[in-house]
Amino acid sequence: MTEAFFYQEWAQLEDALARTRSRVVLRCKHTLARLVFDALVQCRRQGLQVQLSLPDTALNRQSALAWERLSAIGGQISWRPAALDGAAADASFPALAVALDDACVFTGKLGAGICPADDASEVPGLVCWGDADFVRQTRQVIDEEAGWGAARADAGAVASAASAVQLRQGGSAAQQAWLARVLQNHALATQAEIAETQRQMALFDHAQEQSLGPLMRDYLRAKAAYLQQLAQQDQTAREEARAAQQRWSDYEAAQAAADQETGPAALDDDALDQLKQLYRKLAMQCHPDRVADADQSRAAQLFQSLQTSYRRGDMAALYALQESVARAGFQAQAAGDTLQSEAGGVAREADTHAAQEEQVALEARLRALRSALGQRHEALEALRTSATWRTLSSQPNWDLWFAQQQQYLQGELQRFEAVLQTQGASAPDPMAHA
Amino acid sequence: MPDTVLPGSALRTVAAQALTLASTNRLGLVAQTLDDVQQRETRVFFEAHLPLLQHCVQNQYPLDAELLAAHAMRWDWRRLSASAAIPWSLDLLSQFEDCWDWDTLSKNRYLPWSGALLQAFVRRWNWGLLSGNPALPWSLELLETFAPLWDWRVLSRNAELPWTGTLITGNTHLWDWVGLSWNDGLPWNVTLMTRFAERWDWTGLSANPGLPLDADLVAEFAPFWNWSWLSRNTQIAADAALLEAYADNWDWTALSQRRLLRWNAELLAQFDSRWDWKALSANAALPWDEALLLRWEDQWDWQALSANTAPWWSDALLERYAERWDWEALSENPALPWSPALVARWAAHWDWDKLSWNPALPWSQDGAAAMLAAHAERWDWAGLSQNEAMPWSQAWVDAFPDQWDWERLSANPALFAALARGSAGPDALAGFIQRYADRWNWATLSGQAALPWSQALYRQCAAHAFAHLVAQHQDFGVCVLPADVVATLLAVLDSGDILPGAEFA
Repeated sequence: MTEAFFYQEWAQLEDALARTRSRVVLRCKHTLARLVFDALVQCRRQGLQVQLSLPDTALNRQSALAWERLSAIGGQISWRPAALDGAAADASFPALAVALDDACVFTGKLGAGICPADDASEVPGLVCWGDADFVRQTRQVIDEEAGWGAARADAGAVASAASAVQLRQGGSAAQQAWLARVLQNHALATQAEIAETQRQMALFDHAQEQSLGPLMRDYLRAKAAYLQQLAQQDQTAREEARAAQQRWSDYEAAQAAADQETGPAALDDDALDQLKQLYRKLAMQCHPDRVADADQSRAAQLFQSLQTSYRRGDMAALYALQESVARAGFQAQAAGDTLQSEAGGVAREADTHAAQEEQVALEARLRALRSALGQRHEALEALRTSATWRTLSSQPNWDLWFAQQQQYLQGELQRFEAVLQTQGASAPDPMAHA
Repeated sequence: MPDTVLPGSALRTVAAQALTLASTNRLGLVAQTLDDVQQRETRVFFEAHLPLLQHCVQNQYPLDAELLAAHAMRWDWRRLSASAAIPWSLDLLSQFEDCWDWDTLSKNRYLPWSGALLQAFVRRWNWGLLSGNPALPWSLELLETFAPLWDWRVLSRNAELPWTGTLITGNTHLWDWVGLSWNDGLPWNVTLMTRFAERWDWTGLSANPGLPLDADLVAEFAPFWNWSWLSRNTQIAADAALLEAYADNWDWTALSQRRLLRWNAELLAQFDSRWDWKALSANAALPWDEALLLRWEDQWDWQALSANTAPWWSDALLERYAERWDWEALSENPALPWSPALVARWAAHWDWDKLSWNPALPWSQDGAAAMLAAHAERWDWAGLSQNEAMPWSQAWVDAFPDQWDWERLSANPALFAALARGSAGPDALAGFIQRYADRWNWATLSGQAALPWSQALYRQCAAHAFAHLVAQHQDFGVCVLPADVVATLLAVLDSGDILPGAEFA
């Protein structure tokens, strides 16, 4: 069972740390946030085994975090050799990977306000994994890289030369399999977050249209008419008049097109949870990433329907889709263990030319996965930086905000109408400022 | 979320979008139009409230060099020097070098701190204040570069420094050892503590929550500790053996207040004669149950016990020992299982003044009016007015206009947070505030950050509100105004040619 958190990620991790009873293993890709470091110190003080793996960079060595403070109270720190630029494995690692007891793993990135040195192109968000196998796999990957796994007694020592070389070469087979799994899950979590962001924007669009639509239409029409009138007397106003006319007609066109669509359903928290769960389940079954090549076209169709139904909050349509997906009987990608087995082959035949080629192919695959995840981060970031998202996410009470905008629009509309009614050039200019 | 499959190929780009093109277009057009309208309305608003504009610009606007220079005489440079909104740069600091308040700048966390910035104004900074600024990029290099300038007494107390054994041993003559001893950011361990045993302030060390305080450490430095302060250390988690080993050294009153001791009945019994039972009675970390209560029934301090916030209270417990409880302390205890029935059951016992202030009372939307009415003569309205747990709404305030303490009501953030969450539009809210214009404390209300100030609300309240106080927490959208518009409006203010309708705060 995995869960994704794109808001208040730190609060989630902090809660999980507070529930941890015996061991915290943390790998950070760049630098560690002070909040996280302080939490590790606190865990250690409470008697937990704390292991931290971080890159041996000047930034970290000169950081204001007093690493010795953690060592002094029995925490283990492993300084990994800084990764080579472009090394596929290290670049694919999430900013943070934390294994807590045998219970769960968090992978991802904390908000920029918490850890400003992280890669800005990644969207903050944590995926929490509750799968025991994955927790073991994560600990194995971090242990192996840090040199903890082989010789516990030597914990805290610098990673072994062998593992350093391996890292520079693109990571071990187990590491690559782990990374691929992390990347794919992050991509699906990001896809789900995109869908949820868009669902909220659709809901906001609908509510905004109900509250402001008629007034907006009148306002745009009045402004276009006024500027048209002004342009007849003043050449310099022509461009502005043309732009106002264009905006009005664009709005009318968007309005007509949007009116053809079914509006989104308003859902309570329980219904929304159900909707999200069903969406995730179906996305796993019919996302084009997840089916064999022969099923691509049908899967793309069903996934498109899934997106539309999710936007509308249409639970009935999702249930119908569930049946369609079951009927389609998609074959999952047969490559479930491909990376692991291929990489295993590499290890066994390490000296052969073929194995080297396989290694290169695996690294290329990780890069491709990373690039695809990057695209989704970009898409999510674009949505979140839109004016609409900024408004809807910052307004706790949409109705109140709409009421305020109504007032503004009403005031402006009255100004334009007053001038238009006088039909004369001598009327006061409503666009003029005092 | 998937738990199993690994892809054979890279993730495919997903063309399907949940948001339709028509919605996207409409949202974009509306957002753009509303931005335009808001900018114009904001300008009109500030034209009518120019003194408010000045305060909002000074507190919230990303002032550039041009604006700073054009109205240099208008600015309060000390407040500007503390600004988080100004786009700070070395150039900007240079350009107005004689205007800034360098003490305030030295404390500012939002400057682009670097070694180069420190060097550029090396004679301007207040190095004592810099030494305590956690936003500096503290590193060994930074410390060494400006070693003669730092205030080492302040540095010694700064937990943000890159504390290492080397840093401490390399500058032994510079450190203030008392400051270091109280600093919980140091990498405390036996070696460090032994090496400078003669230099440490052992009172500071004893109180320092940063120490890895286990039995070995306590034993290692037993002759050095200030036991009274060690007993007060919030991180002390001594078990029975450690308590026994130094039984005559510990301050048992302080220990009785600690939350991290391994509390259980055996521990209490073992040191029965040493504990401070009054302090124990107030300690919520004890494993409270009725057996514990009965075992030392006569040793507990029932007044302190009545104020104990451990989650063990029940109706039955209150009933059983009704004669022993201190009802004044119970009345302000938030951990009781509060219900209207409980309030009614012990109506004659409560201290109603204390009860009125208790934030845990069940002031539910449905039952509040009945509970209020049932004991109408007993409540303390000053306490109720400041109680954040009330079911605050316009109607709730309207219901008892003559009973509220309006001074306290003006200071109650829960009331205004509830109004912000309510469905009333800006006009209705302004109407509500205006209705009691002669009752609010306007200085308090102007500083009330929870009140959902809007342009509409300010318009109606401008005659009463204190512009400089409101502008401390509200920007009224001033940041949407382009710099040239701000400059034009400030020029009007400078010229004294105040626009019609403008008020002077």
